[in-house]
Amino acid sequence: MVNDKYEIRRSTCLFCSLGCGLAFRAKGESVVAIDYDRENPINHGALCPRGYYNFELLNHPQRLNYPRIGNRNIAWSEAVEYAKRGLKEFGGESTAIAVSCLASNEDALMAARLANEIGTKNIAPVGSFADIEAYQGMSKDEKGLEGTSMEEIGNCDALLIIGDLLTRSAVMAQYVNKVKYAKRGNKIIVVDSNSTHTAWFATNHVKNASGTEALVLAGVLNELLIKYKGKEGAIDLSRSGLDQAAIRKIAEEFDSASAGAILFVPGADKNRNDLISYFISEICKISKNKKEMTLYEYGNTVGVNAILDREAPGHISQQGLLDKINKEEIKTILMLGEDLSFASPELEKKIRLMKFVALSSYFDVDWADRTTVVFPLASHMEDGGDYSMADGKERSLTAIAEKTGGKTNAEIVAMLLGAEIDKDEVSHAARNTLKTKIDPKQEDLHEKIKEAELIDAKEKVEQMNITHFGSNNLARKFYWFRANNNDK
Amino acid sequence: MTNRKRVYLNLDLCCGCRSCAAACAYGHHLQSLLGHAKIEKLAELPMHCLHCDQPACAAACPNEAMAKQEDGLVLRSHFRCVGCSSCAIACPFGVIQTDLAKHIVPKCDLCVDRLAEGEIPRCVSTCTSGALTFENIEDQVADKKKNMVSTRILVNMLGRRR
Repeated sequence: MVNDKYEIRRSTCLFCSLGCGLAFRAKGESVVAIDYDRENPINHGALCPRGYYNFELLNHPQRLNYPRIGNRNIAWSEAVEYAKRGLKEFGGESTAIAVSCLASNEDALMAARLANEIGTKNIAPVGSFADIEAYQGMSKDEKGLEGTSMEEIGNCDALLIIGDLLTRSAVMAQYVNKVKYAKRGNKIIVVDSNSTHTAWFATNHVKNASGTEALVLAGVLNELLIKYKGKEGAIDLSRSGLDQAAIRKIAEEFDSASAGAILFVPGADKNRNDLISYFISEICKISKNKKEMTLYEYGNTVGVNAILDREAPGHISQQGLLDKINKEEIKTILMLGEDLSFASPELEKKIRLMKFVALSSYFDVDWADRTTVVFPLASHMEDGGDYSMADGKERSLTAIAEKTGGKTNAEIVAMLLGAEIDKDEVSHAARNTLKTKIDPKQEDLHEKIKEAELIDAKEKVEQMNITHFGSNNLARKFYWFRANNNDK
Repeated sequence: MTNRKRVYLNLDLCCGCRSCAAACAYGHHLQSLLGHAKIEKLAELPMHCLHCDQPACAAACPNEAMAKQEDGLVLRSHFRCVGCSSCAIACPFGVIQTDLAKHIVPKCDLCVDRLAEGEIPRCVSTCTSGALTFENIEDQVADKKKNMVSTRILVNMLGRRR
């Protein structure tokens, strides 16, 4: 197909927090075809079906190139003036800002500055509910933002996988295979209520009752507490669908490994992702040589959450934002990079009733008549930025293609603040912000274990409406491979 | 010079993510040429064309669209194929699937454009678990023993279900 000379340009995929390397063949200024980055230490050239859609994002026919009011293209200056007036009209408290977890660290920092300027605490990270819940449960001490490397996971003796890892991040399959076949006796323990692709790879598949992952991990933690600290803590595991012996077996298998890792995939089918995340970090503290890694659905969940925690202290959560919208306390909203209306059809009606809605989006939204202003958004491949991935490392991306007319969230916010953006200063400030520490909460383990016992999984599992790939809106817009095969 | 390299699937490693199909689709005008075998919801395995020495599909083709090339690959001509799917019926391995795209039968071409550049096929480059490899036929035969474990498990599980 590409027979003439081409040049390879590299970028990073942000559809999940793994951060696989992307390579493209480029001719002149335009990107022509997708290639495989075989030298990348994370994915070695492999890409999951979702990763391919990053290529489509560059030259998609439905990409927005101009700011819009309703169905009318307008100039940037006009759109910014309009948005400025709208955001200041109703005062600070009735204004909300939503920052997508696909945004870069700089975007989050600028959004926090805008919130401080307006004088509102209604700023929320927006992504998958499960992701943000899991981040909140993560222990935020010195090791909080540090993860483990892929190489270390490949060299483990035992993996404890919670959730459907291979469907969320298929590229992890090479590391799971490496552990499984490296030597006899290596363990892959999968805790999942369904018989998924990941469970097929397990050496020990623990089939719990759906929604009881937190209880299972509380049982494992309880076993370890008895073993190492001699504390007796009776725990009722009857709801989990497992007995004490099965839990003891997992705990022993995992604890006896010389090096191990817990891989956690937050999801809507799990109750209390924050508790699961908390127990995982506690297990890693007690057991020797154990690492943890959380695979978020959105690429920069860690970075956006961490920056908002530090720069806009006391900010609300995604659920809090939705509650406030439902109570009609919010009249103006600025949504940076994520359309909130996917959350529920009721919310879509509420957004229609709002006084002022500004949105930055890759595509022409299908409810354009309800928004006041839509800003075209530049893809992360058209303008770089810093991102924090699941392994705790920062990826700095450089632009690989010409902008189609959009601007990054940081630039849009800078225009709303009425100042020119100094990119070096912002990225420097974002990096410094991430280094500042937050005091960890001291929590009583036994009370947390009791909390896990009280979870009523049944109600939530009946209510939930789970799509196979969760709520990553951008990926879902593209994704048709699995959509055609819904029989799982 | 004959091309003796073929795509080889290691059943022990395949995780059924269908990345190979996505890569194939992006290389071939959004039409995947790669069939997938579904085994009673237990597994989804990619089925690659073996490029046989005496291809039954070529013998069955009424319009001489399917033909064995000098370099050993069995390729389908875009212009001659009428989409009668005779080749799909004739193929003893069932790798040609009958869903027609623009009245043409999809058929693996081993990414000839990439082979000409000295690269490996797209599906092998993108395999997330390392299950697909591009090897000489002789090496594949020697490697067959490795496949025995998962094949036995699959057969056992299928037997138990029926």
